[in-house]
Amino acid sequence: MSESPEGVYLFCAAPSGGLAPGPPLAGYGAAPLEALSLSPLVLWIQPLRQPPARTAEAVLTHHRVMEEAWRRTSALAPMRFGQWFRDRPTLVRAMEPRVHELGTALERVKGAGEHAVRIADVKGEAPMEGPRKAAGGTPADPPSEDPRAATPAEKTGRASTGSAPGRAYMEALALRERRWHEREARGRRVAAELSGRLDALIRGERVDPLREGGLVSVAHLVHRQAEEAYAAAVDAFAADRPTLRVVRGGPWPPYSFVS
Amino acid sequence: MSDHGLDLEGEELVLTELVSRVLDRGVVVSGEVVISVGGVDLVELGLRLRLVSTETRERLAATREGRAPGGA
Repeated sequence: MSESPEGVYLFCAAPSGGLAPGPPLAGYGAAPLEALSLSPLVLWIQPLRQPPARTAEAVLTHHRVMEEAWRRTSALAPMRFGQWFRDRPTLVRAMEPRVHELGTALERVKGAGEHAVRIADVKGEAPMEGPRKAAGGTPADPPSEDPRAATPAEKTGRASTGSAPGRAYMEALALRERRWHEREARGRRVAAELSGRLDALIRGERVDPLREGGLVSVAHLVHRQAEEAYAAAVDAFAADRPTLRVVRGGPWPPYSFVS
Repeated sequence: MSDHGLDLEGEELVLTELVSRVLDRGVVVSGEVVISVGGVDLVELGLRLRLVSTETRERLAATREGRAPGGA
């Protein structure tokens, strides 16, 4: 692991002008953060001899700092976990070409937070796995998401025992991809239905169909003053779709809308 | 984090959403970044978070039942 006596960890960037009143921002080890001016931005940093450990605690600390800063400023560009530099000049050199881009991003997210919506089928679905080798090393069909779905052998009208192993494997791969595209399209359709219900409440959207853990993950950029109306609209959508499990999270700093 | 009456599974889904943002989104400044979070690390992290979540669940259940966490 790298170490530098002058190392510095970058948490976030915000417009110059400082934070709303409150206790000093504290980072790893509860040490106070420092504001590094890079006009027209301010960077919130912490002197750190080495990068934080890759642990759940370190990741959640990163987020807690971000959340506190976000609540106390009009706009915030959160950094991805792990932005550590060997010294301040290195950090400044890396940031200077990004100032304009970050300023634009801060304008985009000003006054808004990120909300997450994960949508799954109530009964749950099998994860999208690839073709697997059976115990004896013979290529096997991928697990079916739908018990009624035909196997590759059924689709081709041949008994699988008579197929070459390589061919069966490729058929299984093709079936998996076909199912993934169907699932992806369905996830996008559901996300579009949700967006249609939210209308003017959202200022930005990112849709990520999922191979496992649900059907689709959606990020919405929502103005802080619209949070209650947004939550009510998502809940109303969920109530109208009893076959879907709709879970929402946030508001969080706008991780998905700053790059 | 979400606070609208989620069950444990819902809380884990929200936690997954949050962690994916902290690790995979947000601004990446440059190649000077020393930590890169690869797939293996994400799996490890997911397991750790699951453990944390399980511990929290047990602690909450123990508190409700008036017993020491981990006790019978």
